[in-house]
Amino acid sequence: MTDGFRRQRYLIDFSLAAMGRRKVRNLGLLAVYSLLVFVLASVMLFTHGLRQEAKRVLAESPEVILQRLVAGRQDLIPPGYLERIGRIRGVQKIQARLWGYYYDPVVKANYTFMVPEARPLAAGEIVIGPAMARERGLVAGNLISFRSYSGRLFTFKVAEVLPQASELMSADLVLLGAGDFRAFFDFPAGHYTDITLTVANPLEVRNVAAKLAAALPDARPILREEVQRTYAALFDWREGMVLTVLSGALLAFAIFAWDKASGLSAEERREIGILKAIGWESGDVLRMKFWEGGLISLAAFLLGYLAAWVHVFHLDGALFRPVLQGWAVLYPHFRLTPEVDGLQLATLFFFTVFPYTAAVLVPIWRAAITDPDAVMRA
Amino acid sequence: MSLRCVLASLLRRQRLGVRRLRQGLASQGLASRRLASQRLASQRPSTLALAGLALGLAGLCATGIEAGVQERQPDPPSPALVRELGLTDLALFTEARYTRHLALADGHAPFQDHPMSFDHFPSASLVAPPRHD
Repeated sequence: MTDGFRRQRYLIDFSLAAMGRRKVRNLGLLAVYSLLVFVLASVMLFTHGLRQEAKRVLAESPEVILQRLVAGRQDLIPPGYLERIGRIRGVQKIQARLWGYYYDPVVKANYTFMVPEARPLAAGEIVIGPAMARERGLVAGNLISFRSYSGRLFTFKVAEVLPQASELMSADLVLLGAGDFRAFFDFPAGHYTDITLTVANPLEVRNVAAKLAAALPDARPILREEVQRTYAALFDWREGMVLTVLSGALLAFAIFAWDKASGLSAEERREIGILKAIGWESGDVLRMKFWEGGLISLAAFLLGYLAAWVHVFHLDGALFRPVLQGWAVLYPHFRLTPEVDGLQLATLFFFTVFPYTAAVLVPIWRAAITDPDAVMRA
Repeated sequence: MSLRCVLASLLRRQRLGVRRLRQGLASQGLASRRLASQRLASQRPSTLALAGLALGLAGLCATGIEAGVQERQPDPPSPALVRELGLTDLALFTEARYTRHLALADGHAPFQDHPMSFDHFPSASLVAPPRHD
């Protein structure tokens, strides 16, 4: 063990003994400090996890979605519209989609009815999302009836329940054949809900959108990057909202910590005076107090961050889930994928550990450079 | 002495033996616990504090390892389903059509029912307003 290390260990021993004399105060500070780090880290980890999850799954969504607008509202794609798009360089595939919403008065929830082009379904069969299956108590092979908007009752057989692991995207989905969809919604023949375009080269997407807008003035092209930006902005906004609500608590802690760290008590002044009088150097006093602030802030950071990690990734972020996700009858059950963002961790560390440690040192430095006699008499 | 008396005395002795054995084990456990707490108390405070911090740092490293292990797991079915069905939105807010498909909602949502109408759904209240730049 080198002399330097031994010296630091003695200083830590001394700091801990001094902290032990004010046990309740220091333990209280550690608890409040850890709680603050826990809250901040939970919000950051949760929103980052949601943002990453959205980015990962939406990377597979169509490059361009084309809607038709009438008086600023989305309208059906009429027959002949697809032909008007014609051939656009760079577009690999154009596909018209059928989908819509259905309100189920039994559980007061909305479902998304959709026709899967790549998964042909027999007439009278449906594939349902896991949240809907849970809410209605359905399994494969069960029958379910829906009253359509025209008043007729339709009975479908559940052919399959989509995997639970895809619930974030498929919670409320009801997949059915095109014939069933058109009959259920009285959907006019030859009409579609919207159009998706697959573009091979990502650099061509904006050009394709511009060409579409020029060829079809009543169309609204929505790009995949816009969809991803919408979700990034949504979670940023929610994170900001929660942090704004928490800012009062943050400010209260800042005042508490500043008061604790910057205002030296008479006892602490006397202690510094005695240490200097018996031969301690100003540097040693500073080092001792640095350890005091450093140990508390580092312990609070580690405790708070690890508790937040367990809360978000192992207890499903139970405390913040309602605020950061949303409200719905059909709520997806999903577990976020644990991910460490180095920059986020460094930011949290810098803004929680550094200010407190620095705030501790300034008044101590002032007291340490003063004459011991003056310090003790003050 | 009757057989019953003999059996009773044997049983008594056996019980006494078990009790002594239990007392012996308990005193041994107490002694070992006392020894452990004495050892802990004899450690320097800095040793305990540095060990605690090292434990916390190990926990921090464990979070990184857990994230790395999760990253190597095979892809969950969500991306494949999104590719197959051409899905565009997360099923987080299914209460209204413009919150279920946020990315596809028209520019007039949520005030879409009639001009100057109030928003009916709480989800939309936490969606950022559009930028006006």
